[in-house]
Amino acid sequence: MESFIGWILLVPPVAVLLMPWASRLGRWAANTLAVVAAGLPLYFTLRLIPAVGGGLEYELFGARFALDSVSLLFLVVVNAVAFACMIYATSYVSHLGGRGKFFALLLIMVFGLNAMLLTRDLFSLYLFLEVASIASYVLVAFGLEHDGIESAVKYLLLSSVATSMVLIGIMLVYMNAGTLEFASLAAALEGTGGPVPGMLLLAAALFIAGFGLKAAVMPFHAWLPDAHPSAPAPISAMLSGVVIKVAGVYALARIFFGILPEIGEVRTVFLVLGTISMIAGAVLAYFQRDFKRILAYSSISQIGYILLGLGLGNLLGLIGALFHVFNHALFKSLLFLNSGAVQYRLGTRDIEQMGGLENRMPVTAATSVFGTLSIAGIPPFNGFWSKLFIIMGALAAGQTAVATLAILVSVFTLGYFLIIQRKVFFGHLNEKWRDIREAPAVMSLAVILLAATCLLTGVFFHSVTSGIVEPAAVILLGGN
Amino acid sequence: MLLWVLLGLLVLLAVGACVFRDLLYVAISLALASAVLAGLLFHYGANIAGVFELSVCAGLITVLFVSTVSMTKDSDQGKETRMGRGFIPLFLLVFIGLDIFIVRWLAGALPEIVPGAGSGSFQDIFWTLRSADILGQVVLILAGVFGISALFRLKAKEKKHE
Amino acid sequence: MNNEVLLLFGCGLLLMMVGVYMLVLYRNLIRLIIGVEVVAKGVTLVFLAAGLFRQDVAFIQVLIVTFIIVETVLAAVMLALVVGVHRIYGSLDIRHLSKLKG
Repeated sequence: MESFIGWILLVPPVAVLLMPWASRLGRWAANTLAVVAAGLPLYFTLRLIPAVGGGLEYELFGARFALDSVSLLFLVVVNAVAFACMIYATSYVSHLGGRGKFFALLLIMVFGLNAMLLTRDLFSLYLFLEVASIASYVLVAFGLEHDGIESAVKYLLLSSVATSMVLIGIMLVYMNAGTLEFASLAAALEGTGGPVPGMLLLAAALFIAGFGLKAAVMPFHAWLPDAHPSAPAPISAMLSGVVIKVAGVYALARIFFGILPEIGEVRTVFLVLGTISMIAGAVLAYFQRDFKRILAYSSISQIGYILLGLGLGNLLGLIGALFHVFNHALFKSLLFLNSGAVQYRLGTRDIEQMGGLENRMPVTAATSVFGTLSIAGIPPFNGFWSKLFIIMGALAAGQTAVATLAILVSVFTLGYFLIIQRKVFFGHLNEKWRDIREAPAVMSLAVILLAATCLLTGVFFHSVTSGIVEPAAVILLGGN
Repeated sequence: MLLWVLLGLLVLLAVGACVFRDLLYVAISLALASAVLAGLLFHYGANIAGVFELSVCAGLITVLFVSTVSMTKDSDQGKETRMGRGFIPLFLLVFIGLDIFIVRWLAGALPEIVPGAGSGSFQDIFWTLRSADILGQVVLILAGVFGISALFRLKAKEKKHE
Repeated sequence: MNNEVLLLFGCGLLLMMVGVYMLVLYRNLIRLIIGVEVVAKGVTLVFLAAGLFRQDVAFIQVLIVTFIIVETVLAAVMLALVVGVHRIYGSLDIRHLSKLKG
C-alpha cells in the first residue's frame, strides 16, 4: 500500500518525459497520456483512504515521504480537481496551441502540489512550492495574450517576494532548531517552554505574510484578481480551486498547527484576516462585470471562510475549514470551467453582453446553478454543510459577531451569484448569440462530473466528514 | 578584515545594480556582486556552492540578462520616476539604520546552541539526506524547459493568424 | 563567531531591502528582475549566516546549491516573459501594463 505514495509522485513526471513523444504521435496520444497521468494519482489516492490510519511512510530512492490524514484530504482535492481539469483541457486547449506543452506543465503543477503535501521537510516544501509556482506562472501566460502575460509578470514578482520571506522564516527556524524535518523540528521547538522566542515570532510573521500572499488573503491579494481570470479556464480552475489552498492554507495549517509552538496571537491574526477577506472579497466581487473576475474575488471571500475556521481553533471550526477546502475546490473549479465554456463559445467575459444562454447552453447553465447553490450554502449542497460547521464553530468559540458576519456574507454571496445567473443564463437571449451551441461534449463531461460530486458530497456529507475530514482536523488539533 | 571588504563590495555592487543608467552596466554589476558572493562562500568553505554561484549566477544568468537586454533594445525602456534613482542615498541610510536595529535585536535573541557533529560531507548530504530535493530539482528543470519552449511558441501561433 | 553571523545576516537583509526597493519603485521590467536577483543574493547570504551559526556549512551549502538552481530557472522564465511583453507591447515600462486593475 505504501508504494502507492511513490506512484502518486512518479506518474506525472514520467508522463511529462513521454509527452513530447506522445504529442508527435498525434492528438489522441497526448490526450490519452495526459488523462491517464492525471487519473492514476487520483486512483491511488482514493485507494489510500482506507489504509491511511495513523499515517504511512515511504522511501522513494532514499527520499523520505509520508502521508497522514491532513495530506490525504488535500491529495484527494488536488487530484480530483486536476483530473476534471485535464479532461476539460483536452478539448479546451485546441484553440491555444501547444497541446503537449500545456499538458506537461499542468502535470508538473500537479506533481509539485502532490509532493508539497507528501514531503516532511520545510525546505523541500519550499522547493516543491516553487516547482508548482513556476509551472503556474507559465500556464497563466499560456494564451500569450496581453492580459495573461501581464498578470503572470505581476503574479511572479509578488510571489518571489513572498517566497523570499518564507525562506528567511525557514532560516530563522533552522537557526533555532538546527533541523528542517517536521517531526524533529516540533520536538526541538517544543522543549523551550515559557514565552515563545522572539526569532520564532518573527518567523511566524514572515510565514503568515509569505504563505498568506500565496493564499491571496486580503491585504496580500492584489495578484489574484488579475492572474486567475486571465489564465486559460482549466488553469483558473486549478489556481482558484487548488493552488491557493495547498500553497497557502495547507502550508499555514501544517506550520502553525504542527511545527511551531502554539502562539495565541496567530489564531487572532487568522480570525481577523479571514473575516476581512470574507467580507471584502464578497463586496468587491459585487462590483465586477467580468464573469471570471467575479469568481476570482469570490475565491478571496471563500478563502476568508477557511482561514476564519482555522483561526477558531476548535474541532468544529477546523472540520468546517477543511471541509470547505474540499467543497470550495469542487464548486469553484466547476464555476470557472463553466465560465471558460461560455468564453470559449462567446469570446467575451463581460456579463452585461450575455443573457438567455440557458437554451443555447443547457448543460453549462444547469451545472452553474449547482455551483451557485453550493457556493451560496443552500442545502443539500455541500457548501451549506461546511459553512454550517464554520458558523457552529464560531458560536462554540463565543465569536457571535463573526458567526453573524459569516451568515450575512453567505446571503450576500447568494445575491451576487444570482445576478450572474440572471445576466448570463436567464432572461432575454442577445441576438448576437443566436447561433451559439453547447460547449464540446468533453468539456460538458468534466463539469457534469464536478457538479455531480458537489451534490453527492452534499447529500452524503456525513460519510465525507467522518471519513476524511474529521481525522485531518483531529490531527491538526492534536499537533499542538 | 577580508570579510568587511567583501561585504562592503557586495553592497556597493548591489547598489550599483540599482543606480546605473545603462542596463548592460546593471547586468555586469549584478554579475560582479555574484562573484563577490561566491568569494564569500569560498571564504567559509562552501566550495561547491561557491562554484555554482560563480558559474551559474555570475555566468549563465548574466548571459541571459545580456541577451534579453539586446533582444529588447528597440523597446520603449520607460523612464524611471525621480523617486527611483534620486533618493537612493537617502533610502540606503534608512535601510542601514533599520538593519542595524534588527541586527542588534537579533544579537540579543540568538539562542544558545550546542554545536552538533555536523551533517557529513557534501556527497552524503546531497545524495542521502536531501535526496527528495534532487527529485524536485529535476522536475524544476523540466518545468523551466517546457515553460520557456511554451512561451517562445509565440511566433508559430502568430504566423497562423496572418 | 556570532559577530560574523550577525554581520552576514544584516548584510543579507540589507541586500533584500535594496532589492525590494527596486521592485517597488522601478518601472522597467528588466530592472525589476534585477531587483528579484538582488533579493536572491540577500537570501543566499542569510542562508550562509544560518549555516555558520549552526556550524554546519556543509549542510547549508547543499541548500544554497538547490536555491541557486531555483533562482536560475526562475530568472530564465521571467526573462522569457519579458521578451513576450516586449513582442506584444514594444515597451518594457510596467506602467503601460495597466489594462488590468486590482
